[in-house]
Amino acid sequence: MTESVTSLDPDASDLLTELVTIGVGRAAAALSELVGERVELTVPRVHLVPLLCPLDGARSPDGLLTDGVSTVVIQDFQGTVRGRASLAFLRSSALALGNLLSDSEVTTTHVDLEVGGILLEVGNIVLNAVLGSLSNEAALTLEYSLPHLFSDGPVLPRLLPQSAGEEHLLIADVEFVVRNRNIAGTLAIVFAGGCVDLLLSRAARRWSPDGREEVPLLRMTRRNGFHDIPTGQLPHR
Amino acid sequence: MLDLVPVGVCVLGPDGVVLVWNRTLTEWTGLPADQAVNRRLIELYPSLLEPRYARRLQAVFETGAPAVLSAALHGHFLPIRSDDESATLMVQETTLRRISTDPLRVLIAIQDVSLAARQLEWLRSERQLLLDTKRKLELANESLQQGFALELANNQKLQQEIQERTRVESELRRQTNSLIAAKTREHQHTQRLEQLVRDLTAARQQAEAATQAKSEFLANMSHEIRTPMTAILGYVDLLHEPGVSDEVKQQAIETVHRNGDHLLAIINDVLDISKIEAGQMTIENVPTSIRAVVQEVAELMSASAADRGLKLNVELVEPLPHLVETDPTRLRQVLVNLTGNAIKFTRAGSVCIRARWQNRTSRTGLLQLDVVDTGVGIADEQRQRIFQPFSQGESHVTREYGGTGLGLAISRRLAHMMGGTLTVDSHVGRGSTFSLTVTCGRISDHERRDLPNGSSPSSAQPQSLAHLRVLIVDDAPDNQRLLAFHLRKAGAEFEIADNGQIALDLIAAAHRTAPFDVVLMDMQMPVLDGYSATRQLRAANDHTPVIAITAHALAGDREKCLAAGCNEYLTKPINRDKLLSTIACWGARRTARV
Repeated sequence: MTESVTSLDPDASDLLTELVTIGVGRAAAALSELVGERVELTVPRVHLVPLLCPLDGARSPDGLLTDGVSTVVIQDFQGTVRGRASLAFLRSSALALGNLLSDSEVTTTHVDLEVGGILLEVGNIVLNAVLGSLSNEAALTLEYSLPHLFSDGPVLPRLLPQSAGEEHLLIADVEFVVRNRNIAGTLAIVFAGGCVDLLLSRAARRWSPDGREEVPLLRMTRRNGFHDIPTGQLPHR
Repeated sequence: MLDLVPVGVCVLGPDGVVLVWNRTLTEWTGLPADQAVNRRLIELYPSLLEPRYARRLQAVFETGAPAVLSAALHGHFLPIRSDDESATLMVQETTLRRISTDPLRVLIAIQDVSLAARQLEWLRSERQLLLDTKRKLELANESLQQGFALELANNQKLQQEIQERTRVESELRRQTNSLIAAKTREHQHTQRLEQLVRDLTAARQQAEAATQAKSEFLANMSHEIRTPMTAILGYVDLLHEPGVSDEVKQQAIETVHRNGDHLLAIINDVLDISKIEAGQMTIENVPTSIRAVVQEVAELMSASAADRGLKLNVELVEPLPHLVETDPTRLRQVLVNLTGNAIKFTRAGSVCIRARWQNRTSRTGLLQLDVVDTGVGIADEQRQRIFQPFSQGESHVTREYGGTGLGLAISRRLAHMMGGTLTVDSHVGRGSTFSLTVTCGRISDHERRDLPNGSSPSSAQPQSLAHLRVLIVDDAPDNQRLLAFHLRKAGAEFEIADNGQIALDLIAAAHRTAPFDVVLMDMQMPVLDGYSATRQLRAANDHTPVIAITAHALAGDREKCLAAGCNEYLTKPINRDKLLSTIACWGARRTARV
């Protein structure tokens, strides 16, 4: 296994985690309101890695992004920053969450129209909330595409942007708690080159006491082998 | 253009005022565009004031982030009936998207997914049905397996029961077979026991019959013996009477003699049957003249026949061999018996003795002697009984005709011993024919010429005993006198000893003067019996001929006497001729040796 080749500055990491947590908190409120019962959403830690860096399993629970069949809701955004946001579930988690939120008495073992609609809406709410939080806290202007649901194959290829610029991948484990059941998902947001720096700097500025301090938050340490991997190719464990 | 798409589309402006209401929405809602446009959507559909709609709409207006309202979580964005007659609302998927900020525009696109929802519901229910069915099948299968397991267990139990029952049945069958075998054995034992009982009963009956016959026989014997004995003693007393004339004396003597002979015949018959039954009777095979035997019997019996006024004829059917090998004594005995019976049981007419011969092989032939009478005849039911010992045709026969009832039994057994038979053919009132057949050896003329002269036993003649010294050893004075009488008449010298010891003394003394040529030794005597005396004599190396004279005429007596050292054996009553010839024989040997 290859260790992550970069590490985020702790302050930047905390900032990003906070921003995402705000977003998922709003999403939890929206979901609770929607389904008429309490839905909790937590994001323990956010990781940020260069997209060309080999992905660590530790940052991709159950190998969700790179392995196997998963269900993912994808929504692009553009504006001050641009990128692609996603909320992914393992198939079993997707079904569990869909069946929990559905008022149907019949459970399903397939991501059918109903479960797919639920997951699409849940993903739409969570992604809107997270992106909305980032946008608000960093004073960004964003436009969003309609969300799309995919339930066949690994997530990561669908996240890859068309451009070949230096990009970052924000990865966060998201844990849904519904009816005393914990369901794990993964929030993954690809930011185009420079977007993370802009995001962090603006957010830092807004969160600074005087509102003007710009803190160079993004300091990453590179390790050997990072540039040996051709651009656009997915690393494999 | 928006009117052409099968999607409900409306565009809201600020404050949610409807700006566009396409035809599809008009068709679905029945609300014409002109009535919808320029009105706030929440006025048209107050249900959109619910937070779950309102917040989403507000967010779209404020952030520009599109919203997707799923059919599963929302059911319907607008309460549109599926059709006019149904209360069911259209299932919708709704997308809210800000399409412009200046001027502010939010596009709402509503898709009718009722059909897909129904299909999904149907699929789910079908799937659930399948799952339920599958579960039921699994339960059924489980039950079946449990049932099968139970059945298997039951089967195993049943198998065990079957095996146990089979084992028990096998054991029962085995025991049944054993019982059957035991029953069979018991039945066989019972049969054997029953047969044994029958045999024992028959044996007992035979024994009782034999006992009865013997009792009757003894009664007859008693009668038969007493009759001649009475005559003998009576006439002997008569002889002692004074003044009896010589003629009466002569008749008395003849009567005594005749009765004595009859008495002797009875005793001889008893001895014969005893010997036969004891297996001691032996048959000789010596050259015998059939003619001579037949003539002797005819001469012997002629007087009796004449006494009864009967003719006694002899018929010799030629060719008859001159000599054959058989036992002349037994042949004569049987023929005498048959002829005597014929005479006895014939009141008138004749008795005929007929002899005929049949060659069988080069060395043997069959002699047939028929005794034919014209007597009373024998009834069929009596024919076999007359050959049984101790029985006669009827008990009154004995009284009427006399006899021991042993004659025919003895005769038939003798016939068998001589290799022949004795049969009877009889008709009551017309007479009987007794046929004796005897298998004899043939003697050719050449062999006949080689025979010594006078070899026929029947021709033996007593010799003179002149110059012979004889010692009579007997404790009975009557026997002493009788023997003395015969010896004196034969010209012999004799002395008398009362017992064996005296005899030994006399013999020893005589050796010094004039030794005895023959000793006539009675075997039963006081002081020293004949056996002991003879043994002592032989022990003393004295070879004086000793002729045993004993009343012991039973089987084994002869051998006992010879074993004691006697040279010859004679039985009482004494036959004079045989006595004298025997003394002469041994005396001649003694003389020759000396």
